[in-house]
Amino acid sequence: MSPLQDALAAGLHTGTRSALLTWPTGTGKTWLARQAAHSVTARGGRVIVTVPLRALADEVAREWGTELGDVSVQAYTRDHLRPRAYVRTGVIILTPERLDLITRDWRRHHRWLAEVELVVADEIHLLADPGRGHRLDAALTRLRAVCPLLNVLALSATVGEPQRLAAWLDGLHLHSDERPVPLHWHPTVVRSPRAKPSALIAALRRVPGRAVVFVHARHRAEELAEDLRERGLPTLAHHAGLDAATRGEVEQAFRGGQVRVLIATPTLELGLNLPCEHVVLYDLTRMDGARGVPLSGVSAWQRAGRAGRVWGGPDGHVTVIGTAQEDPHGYLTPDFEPLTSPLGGEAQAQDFLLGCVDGHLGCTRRQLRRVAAGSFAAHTGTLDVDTALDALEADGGVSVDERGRYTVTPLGQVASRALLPLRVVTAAREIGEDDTAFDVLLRAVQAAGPLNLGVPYREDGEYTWGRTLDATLATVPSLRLDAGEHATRAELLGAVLLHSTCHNLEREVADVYGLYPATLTALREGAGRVVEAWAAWRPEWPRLRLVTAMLRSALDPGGASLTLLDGVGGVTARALRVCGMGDLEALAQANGADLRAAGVGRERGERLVCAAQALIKALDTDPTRERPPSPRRPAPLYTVGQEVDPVRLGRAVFLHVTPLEPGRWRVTGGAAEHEVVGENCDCPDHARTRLCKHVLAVRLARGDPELHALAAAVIGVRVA
Amino acid sequence: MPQMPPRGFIPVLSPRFGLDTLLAPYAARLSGYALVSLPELRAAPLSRLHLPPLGLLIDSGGYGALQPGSTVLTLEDGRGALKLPGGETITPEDVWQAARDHGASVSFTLDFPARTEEERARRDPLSLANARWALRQPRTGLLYASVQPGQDLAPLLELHPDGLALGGLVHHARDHARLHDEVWRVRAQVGPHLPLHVFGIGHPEGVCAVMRAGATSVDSSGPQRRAADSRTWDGVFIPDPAPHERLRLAVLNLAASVRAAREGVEA
Repeated sequence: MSPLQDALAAGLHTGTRSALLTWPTGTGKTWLARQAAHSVTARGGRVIVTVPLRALADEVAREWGTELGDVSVQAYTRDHLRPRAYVRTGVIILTPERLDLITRDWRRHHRWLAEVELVVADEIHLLADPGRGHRLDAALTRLRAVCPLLNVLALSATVGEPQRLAAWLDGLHLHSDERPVPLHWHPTVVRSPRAKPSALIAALRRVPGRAVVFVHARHRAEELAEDLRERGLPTLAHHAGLDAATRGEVEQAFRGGQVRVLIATPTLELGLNLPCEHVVLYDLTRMDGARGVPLSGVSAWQRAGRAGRVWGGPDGHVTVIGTAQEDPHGYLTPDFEPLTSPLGGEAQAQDFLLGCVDGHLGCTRRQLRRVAAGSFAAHTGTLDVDTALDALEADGGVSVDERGRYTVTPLGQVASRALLPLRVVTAAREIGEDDTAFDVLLRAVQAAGPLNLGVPYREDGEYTWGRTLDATLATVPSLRLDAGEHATRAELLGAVLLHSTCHNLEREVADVYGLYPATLTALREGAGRVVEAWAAWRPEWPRLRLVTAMLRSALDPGGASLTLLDGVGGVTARALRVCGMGDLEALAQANGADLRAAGVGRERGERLVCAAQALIKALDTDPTRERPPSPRRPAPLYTVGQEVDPVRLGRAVFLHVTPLEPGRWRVTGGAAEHEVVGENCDCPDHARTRLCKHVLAVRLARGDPELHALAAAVIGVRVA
Repeated sequence: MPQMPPRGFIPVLSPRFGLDTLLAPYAARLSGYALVSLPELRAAPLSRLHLPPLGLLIDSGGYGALQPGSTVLTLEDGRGALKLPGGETITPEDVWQAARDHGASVSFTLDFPARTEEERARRDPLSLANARWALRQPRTGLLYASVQPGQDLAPLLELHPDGLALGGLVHHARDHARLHDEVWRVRAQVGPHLPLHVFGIGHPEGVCAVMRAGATSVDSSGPQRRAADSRTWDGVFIPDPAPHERLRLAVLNLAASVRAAREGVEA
């Protein structure tokens, strides 16, 4: 029997039992899941489908909606916290983060959650994702705890030790290695990364048909696409930095055959169905902070699975291009790493337990241990509840009474509802009453952790935006900068980007800094979540509410001050600004009738003017008023050793330097081995910037004190 | 269009209890029906249960006649009313009105179970008079005549009720043979087609016994009571359960009772 026949015989199409399907891509997992969803909704139940990426949710909803006909299918990826939204939907598409939030407030959502009969966990191997796997584990654990009759249909082509996962799900495991369309692998070893482009061209010539080439970053996708176009190959880049409409156009052009090659980032390895005959694994090393990490077997096979997805179509081909060190042959065997849930990590375990206490899933140590025991992390033996609970209590997220019953503190509740670590929320303590909006944004960027903006720290050129950044930093109102406070360049850049996008400069900022609008939006949303949490925790500070409004609606402080009024959102505030009422003060002095030009009726206009007058009276100080920048403002600390790129420096500290002879060193530990002679390196990066990571590594190895100080100050690394 | 009588196990819910509110969606999902008694409806609004669409059965609460301190009153027209220890009264009109107000699929006539033969001799005519009155009233749902074990059914059957509801078996819940016999006796008298509901049996074995004996439906709040005791029917015990764990116990108990009813019919 085929795997699909096995699944039908086991009744998996009815959604009445849990199962893990580990079948190759293109073998009908999604079709089976849709059949199960159809059966469940036909008998009045609901289905939740978890998707790995927000960017995929709408497409999945569209596809499922088309296939399921009259069943209501909806993706909920934003803040749909009101249960009413979900009650109307038969198939609910959620990201792990959204599901995590829902389960923290399960009693409020109980009415519709109790009708959920099936969860389709697509790409279940996401459980092991270091950044987001704990959200999926936490969400599924809580959901299974509060929905006693729930079945889980978990899907993946790439799960190591699947029996463990199936046992956790208490479900059937159906495995298959058979693909309806065979896959042919072509490992290609190149002498150095510089030889990869020509190897790619050769591979694209060798295999006819459409090809998807996987690289690790957005800017690399753009660059490679441009390079191939120049060589006459119709090529486009596809990544999450593109807005949804552009991404849709790119996909359409690829499907329609107008574009033969797509250069894609890992976004495309998950879920999206783009038929092609050829997949090229081009980047076999991805950067994890400053370290190069080999592409995992799971990711390689997920990407490879995109090839040959058309039933009855031509065979699929996978070309793996890498240096000998990257070992392209090593990817030919589907040897998947066993799944390990990151929920066992200290911070993740604390966050999980905080959500459980906040959601009343447990208020004693014993109850919380029982909830945690249902997690995949506990199933694989990596969750230490007692240590995490003690830390949570010590950090002020929960309090415990004399009977040993835990309750969530206001701080803990804010952190839990914002899905933020406690330390990010408590960073609000460092904000002073006189801090400017920029200072708050800088603090938010610092609290949120390292920025991954993609483009600004590109390896292949100098920063064209350095002067723009410096100029902005010289003029932006900031007590912190006036005081000469230390911040890394990445932090200052993040704050400047946020500040500028809130001053109607989003497009200009994107152009100057070479960023995608989607990157700026993601940055703004991330910072917005932090500042909103701060405003919830410290409601007595109007400045925090103001900055929240700035980030939420991309408005300057004046425009954002208008949104402090009930019933005024970003759209109305913008319309009022266009009509000359740029802030609360201006609105308070207006006449109700003046607001008609902004589309506000006379009666409502008068109410708003009165409300503005009342709010100004109620506020002790004007939150939009900021002290201008000091003329004696010191230069930001990062300008010390300005020519040194902190990212290159960050990578340099992990490289190995071997002296070969006086003035000559071998540098290993990166994607390729390089030789440094004096201050010169044989890498392509050095040819352009003169200060590549290899030269920096040698200078560090030789004990350059200025560089060591910079490493400690800018990236927080002390080199032995 | 004639209404279909409910079949199988029906959970009893009370708007007063948080656990019942959590269980309500599962009542709809597993049974399709829920039974609420009139005194509970008076104690808290039905809206608290956030009931999803399901068939509602409203019980008169006549079982309160067995409570110490309660009295059965004789009304001027020969019908009976119940005065509860707190002073509250339940009349046949109250039951009829509640069924109308809540669009009940099924309601039950107000009868008065008795502890002694003497009580029974006085109360049975009042119960019969209540049934006679109720069955003459206009109604949108089904109306079952409430009966007690050993009661002469002939006068009730002459009134052509939509079904019969047999109470008074709670004290024999563990005696499955007795349960079977009592239900069998009634079924034998009313023939195979008249719906027969049994009050107050929740344990799966008891449910199976009454259904095997010919009951059409059976109700109980046993699944929640057992869960409130931190246990499932089959002995699983969770010490100091959290609310969702209590819900889990109740849902598993409810599912077991529903399954037992199905198995009883199939047997």
